[in-house]
Amino acid sequence: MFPWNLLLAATERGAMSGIEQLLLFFPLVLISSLVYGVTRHERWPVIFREAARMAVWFGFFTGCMFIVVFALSQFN
Amino acid sequence: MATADEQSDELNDDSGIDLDLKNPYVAALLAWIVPGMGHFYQGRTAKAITIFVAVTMLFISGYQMGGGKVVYCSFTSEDLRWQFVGQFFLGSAAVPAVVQNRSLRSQQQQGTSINLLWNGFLAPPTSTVELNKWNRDYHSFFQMGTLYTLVAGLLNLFAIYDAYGGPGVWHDPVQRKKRLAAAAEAAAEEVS
Repeated sequence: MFPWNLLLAATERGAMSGIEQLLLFFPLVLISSLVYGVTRHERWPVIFREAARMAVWFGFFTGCMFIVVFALSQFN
Repeated sequence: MATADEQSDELNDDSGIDLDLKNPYVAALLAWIVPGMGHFYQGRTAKAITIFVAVTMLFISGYQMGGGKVVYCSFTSEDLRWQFVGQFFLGSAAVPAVVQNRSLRSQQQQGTSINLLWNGFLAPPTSTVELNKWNRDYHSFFQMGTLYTLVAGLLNLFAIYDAYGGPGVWHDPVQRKKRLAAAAEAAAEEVS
């Protein structure tokens, strides 16, 4: 279950954990993919297919970046 | 009656779709002011609603996460807010932020006591001490809120371009050639 309170509360709680920060990445990817698909095509079946393709691509790309940064952080 | 192959082509390729973009400059301006408004003006209602809901939801989530402090315009040497360049593409947020910035800077130059407009709505921090306080109070939410509002602005840039020039697939050279060929064929059929 997505912790919606992450989007609502800030001052009354401590810093976000790493997992919470990662969870906030999913709405960002979904909305970015959908809007990209909407602006690239006109028909809904094509839009949804493009959005799904972009979501996978974004996820893969940012996942790779995450792995690289995470690996580098282990040397600090 | 369309064959299965024709129906499949139609589902896979929307480059030949006929669109009336009306006045593209007006559409782009409306899309800048309110996400989806340009599409609404062009009669592309479903796209307008999708863009409005998606971009606005992302923006409000980010704004809320950062306690309403993450959207402001400031280009001083102490606080170079480069993220505002992305946020600028949401005009309804950008205009008050720019007005606040100009108002604050002129008050600082004149050396008068600082009186922020609209209870400080979208106002930049009055000093680096205040900016540090925001970062301390909102910690990682400040960065995440900034990211959300920045991405919302950049997504609206795509939407503005779509309202101005039509969907991206129209600008693909191969798709464009197919679209023009289909239009020429339709025109020739009409003449004959």
